[in-house]
Amino acid sequence: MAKKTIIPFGPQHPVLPEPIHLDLVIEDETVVEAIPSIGFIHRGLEKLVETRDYSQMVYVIERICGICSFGHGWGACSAIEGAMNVKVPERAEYLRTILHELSRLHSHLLWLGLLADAFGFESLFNHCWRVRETILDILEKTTGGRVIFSICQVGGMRKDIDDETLKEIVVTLNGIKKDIKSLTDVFIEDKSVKNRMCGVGVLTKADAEELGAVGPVARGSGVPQDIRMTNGHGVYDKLDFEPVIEEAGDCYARCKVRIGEVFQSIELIEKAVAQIPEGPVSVKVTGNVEGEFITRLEQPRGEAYYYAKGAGTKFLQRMRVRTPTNQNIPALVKTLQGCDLADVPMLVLTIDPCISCTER
Amino acid sequence: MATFKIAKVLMKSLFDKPATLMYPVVQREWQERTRGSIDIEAESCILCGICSKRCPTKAIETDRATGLWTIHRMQCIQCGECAAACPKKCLSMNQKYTEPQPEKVVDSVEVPIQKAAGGAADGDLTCNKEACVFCGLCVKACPADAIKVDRKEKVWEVDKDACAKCGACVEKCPKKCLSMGGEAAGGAAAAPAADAKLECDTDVCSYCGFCATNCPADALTVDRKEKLWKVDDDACAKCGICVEKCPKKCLTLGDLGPAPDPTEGKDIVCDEDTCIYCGLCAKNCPADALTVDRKEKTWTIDKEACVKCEICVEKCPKKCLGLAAEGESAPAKPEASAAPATKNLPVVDTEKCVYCAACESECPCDAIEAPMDAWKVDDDKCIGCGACVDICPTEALHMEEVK
Amino acid sequence: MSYIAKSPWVIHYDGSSCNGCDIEVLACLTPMYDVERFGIINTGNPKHADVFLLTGAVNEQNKDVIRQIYEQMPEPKVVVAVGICACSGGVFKDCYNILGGSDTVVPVDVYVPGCAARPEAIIDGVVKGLGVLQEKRDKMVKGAKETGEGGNE
Repeated sequence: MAKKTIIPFGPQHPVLPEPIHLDLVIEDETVVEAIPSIGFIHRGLEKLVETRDYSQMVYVIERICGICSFGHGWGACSAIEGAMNVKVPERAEYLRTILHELSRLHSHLLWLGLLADAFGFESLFNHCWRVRETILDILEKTTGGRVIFSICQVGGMRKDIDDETLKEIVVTLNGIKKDIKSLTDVFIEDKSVKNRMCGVGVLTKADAEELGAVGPVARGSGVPQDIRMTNGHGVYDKLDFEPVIEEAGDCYARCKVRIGEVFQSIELIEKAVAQIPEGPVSVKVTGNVEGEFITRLEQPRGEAYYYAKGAGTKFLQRMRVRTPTNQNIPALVKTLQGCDLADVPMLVLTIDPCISCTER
Repeated sequence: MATFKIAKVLMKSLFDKPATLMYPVVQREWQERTRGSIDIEAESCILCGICSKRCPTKAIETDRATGLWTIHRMQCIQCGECAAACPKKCLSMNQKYTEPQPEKVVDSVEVPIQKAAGGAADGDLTCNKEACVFCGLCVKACPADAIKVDRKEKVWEVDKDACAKCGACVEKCPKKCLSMGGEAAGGAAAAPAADAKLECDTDVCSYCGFCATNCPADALTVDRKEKLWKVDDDACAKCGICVEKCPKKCLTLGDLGPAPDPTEGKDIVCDEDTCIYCGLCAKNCPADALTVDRKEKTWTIDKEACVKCEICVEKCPKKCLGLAAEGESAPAKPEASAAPATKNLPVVDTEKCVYCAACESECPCDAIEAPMDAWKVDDDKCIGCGACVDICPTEALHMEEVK
Repeated sequence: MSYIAKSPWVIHYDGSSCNGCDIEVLACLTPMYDVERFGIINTGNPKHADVFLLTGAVNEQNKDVIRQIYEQMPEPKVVVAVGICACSGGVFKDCYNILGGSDTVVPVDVYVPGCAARPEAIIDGVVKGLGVLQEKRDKMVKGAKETGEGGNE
């Protein structure tokens, strides 16, 4: 009879940037079950709507997560704008799309680095983050911050980005494209990396659909779901593209999906910069929020939705954010069943967990 | 399947220059928009407290009693809301971050306490409803959107929680009916009836445009060349400011007649020591009351024709004109205005120019140099009087507004 | 600077942070800022560490974890609170689940402000922390010598 032991994983672990606690029930080095326990990051920030008016609340929502920060800012502004029936100028929508794609780029490169660290390839981790610094420089030049941008406001953007800077961004991105390609080739083609990732942590298409997985986790298992195509937020309907789908459902497939999205983001930014119109970047918004609205966004980790409800005062009545990792944790638990103990850090990272998003 | 695919990247990184910044030996060069920390210019601060209200983390405190503006550096999220909301624009975003310290840094700045505009002690904002004409200028001036004015319903309301007591509205009010605590001064005249119509006596009107410039509702259109005066009755706030300001006293609004003339007993005088006889005042006079002769160095005014609109005072580049009472020697010097964004400068058509240098000798400021094939004007000296344009025999010069 | 402050090992723990400061702490290890030049290694074992980098505010669930990590670290040790959430609670100060900054649980030696704190600020904070570490080490050595002499007498 195999002996069952319970090993606690986290909350403090060198490979995990965030605290999540998993109780791993193992039998002879194979994980039979994983019981997650979260709550280390719960701040209860949705209740701050009672004391911060709606434009200050955007700053709070932005800080739900530092990696997907731009998406949260955009989602919060978009939900409030929808509730107030404010139409944002065209140029602002283009700028928001461009910055969101830049945010996706930096998030995927960050994830690639952490994944490499998780399966022991530290120099690849360093190289990925080295390339990511160029993107952070671009973000700092346009928005003023490396991690938290504070550039979306209700009604548009706080600052404009002039066309010259936009063209420079495209030139810079094309310059580092080769660099990124040589790094992503290592993930896709190197034999030792493939040994670690292929066939590990398989999530079948049926499971992905049943458990409600979103984002690259779902697309890696063959589920063709990309909110950018369906929802019409930003200007994605004007930029012609197809979502990146893989069928295998293992770590390798999810990795390939994210790498595909990196190159797709560079193309989308180029297309958006070519089409961006002239005009103002914000409209003046006064008055109170009355009514409710939901916005859905495709964050780097999957589908997120933002619900805002106002009752006629300058304070919102309710602000609810549903983040993608919340949906992917059941998928994580399913993939952990039957894997080796040594693969656990890598599998936890493969769903790109953003626990601060989950717990708000 | 390939092995050691990272070899290419490794080789490249061995021979490329290092990616490291070598901080702290090498300092980072800040980008223009980098958000580091907040700076305050204490002289302009009026301790209105708007920054404190807008701050999402309550990191700023303003205390009128002690005159201190305090920021908790370890609470500031560097969002820039305070800098954007400040009505006096005394807060700015610095690119350098706050240095780490062993204790929580709290910076307090002493602000020289100035009386809030309106000169009243701490109190709530009040409006003297009898004097108020509901023009809405206070709404436009309020940085906290705290005032609501409805012209038709004759409603004036202030949201006491939003009001930051900065006094911007008190300053802007044309009827002086607002005050911070205590009784409002109120305008001298009673508000005109709601159906009063603004009318202009076009026989007397000199189309100087003073009424249009002073109208808070932009309801007036005046064209000096076409001799046109028009009022938009819907936009007109019936505030009576134009009636007061009109130098020819040609406007009437219902029962409201012109206010007593503040320029009574005063005439335009010229300080002939500073005057360079450029003639700009004469060119701009709507009543053709001035005559300037550059050669003879004379400046004369027809006191009967003069309407005391003071346009000449504004336009004079040497600031040698002013309104002065009988017996006063020096004219009251008007405040120096900020350098205009655009300037009127002469531009030469080199095909027409014959380099006769007539413009050079005519120029009262010695701003033009016209040697053969090299005509140029000194932008700083030129006052835009247009004398060169007038004297040019081949009409090679014209004035253009340049930034 | 004696040997103790020359190559400090760092342990990093994320309290209720949004991850902004955490990725900036990790960015310090990567080629652009590269604190490994100074011999700083990010270790997972509290008993190997000299400097405790804390990010994020403290809530009920993680205050015990922070306390345990702090107590396991050997003396002399330095606590650096990175980011305004660790200094004072930051944007989330009024939230119901937040107790406050890190100083509600452990004694903090250096506060690094910023949201998110820049890698340059973090390096400056760690360097200041090293100064404090050196002082603590000197005090420890002096204390040990005095007790030693006292015992002998």
